[in-house]
Amino acid sequence: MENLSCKLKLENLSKLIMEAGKIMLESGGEVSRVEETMKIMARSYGASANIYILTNGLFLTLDCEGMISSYVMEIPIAAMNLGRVVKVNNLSREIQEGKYTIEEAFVKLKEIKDLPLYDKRIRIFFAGLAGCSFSYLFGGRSYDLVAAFIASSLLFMYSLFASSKRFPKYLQIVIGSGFGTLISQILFSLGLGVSLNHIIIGAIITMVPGVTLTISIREFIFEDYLSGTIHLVDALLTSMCMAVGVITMFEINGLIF
Amino acid sequence: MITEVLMAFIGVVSFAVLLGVPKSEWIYAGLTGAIGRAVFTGTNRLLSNNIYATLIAAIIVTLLSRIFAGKRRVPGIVYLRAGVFPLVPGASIYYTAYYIFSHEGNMAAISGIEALTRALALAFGIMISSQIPQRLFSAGRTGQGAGDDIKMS
Repeated sequence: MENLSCKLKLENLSKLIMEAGKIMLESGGEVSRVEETMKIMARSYGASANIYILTNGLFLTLDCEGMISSYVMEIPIAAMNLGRVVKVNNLSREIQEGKYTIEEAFVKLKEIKDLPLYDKRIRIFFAGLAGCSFSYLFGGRSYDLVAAFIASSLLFMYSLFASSKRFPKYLQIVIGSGFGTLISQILFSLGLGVSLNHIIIGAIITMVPGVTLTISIREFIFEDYLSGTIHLVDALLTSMCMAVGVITMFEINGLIF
Repeated sequence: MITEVLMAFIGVVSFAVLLGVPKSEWIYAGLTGAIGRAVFTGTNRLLSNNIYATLIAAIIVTLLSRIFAGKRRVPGIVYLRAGVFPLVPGASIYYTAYYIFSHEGNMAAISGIEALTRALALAFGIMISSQIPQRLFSAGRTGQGAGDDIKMS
């Protein structure tokens, strides 16, 4: 009798924990935090969890009074949404305090899953602002910032469009950086800005894989070689694709003018 | 310098918005990034070595994000992800690839090494701050889950 309840619980619990882990991982939660949150949830419902996490996969084994269930899940890379990470983290705390049954927690998790990013227009505006301020930090001045603002927000609009059409990731980056360069060159030849390079770096800053490279090195330091390699290769490929996009656009314009 | 810090603040808040950080935490993320940038620029002027400057600024940024995390009961990564942006050698990474494709090997090597060393310094700085026990940041609160042991991701 007791084993039967355990079996039922295991099924629901593993679904709940996997879902929570999936939401956190794909929204940009770091590996160690995802693991901790999943373990807390399992412990709060009286099971012990053994978890192995990659940047794009979850492996879970749950143990409840000797009954074992295992789950494997592939995690596609999605848009980052740290708001979800915060919410799942809070949920795991409330679960730890015993506020929810498994079913209630599932409902809560569904709500978190449907949590959208900010409105598109707001994001486009802030993408422009990011391009503008980082152009300044890299040495752009006066009208460069205006040009960087325009180019960066247009590039972000393109990115939104490209991801909604599900362009292949690296193709999207090549085309995007080419597009950003084109806009910068047009604005520059219209007389906006004094330094083309600073406009371009501001325009494409939202695509630069800086944090990815840092994450990767940190993972190597913490002996997580596999995730480190994944992020390192991602950073290298992304920056290569960006350079290809920018240079191709330079070459094309060189041919025309 | 003041404009620079202000710009870093705006840039970090912008990235926080793009990353979906909740509205209530924008200002803290911005503060983390702006103070980090100020420390970076100050140290860089003092030592004229941007690797040490990155290291020290990374330590400060991680500490700040942990302090905010402890105070506001939010994973520290929320502040850290956006807050490190002004320190990240993003431009160097891009310039490295750019020089490689435009056949300027020497320039590529210079910016490549800069990107790598600064990313290393950043990762080390974050790691050093991450090792400090969490209870120092959540003093005054008790109970389980009071602290947030954050690590950079």
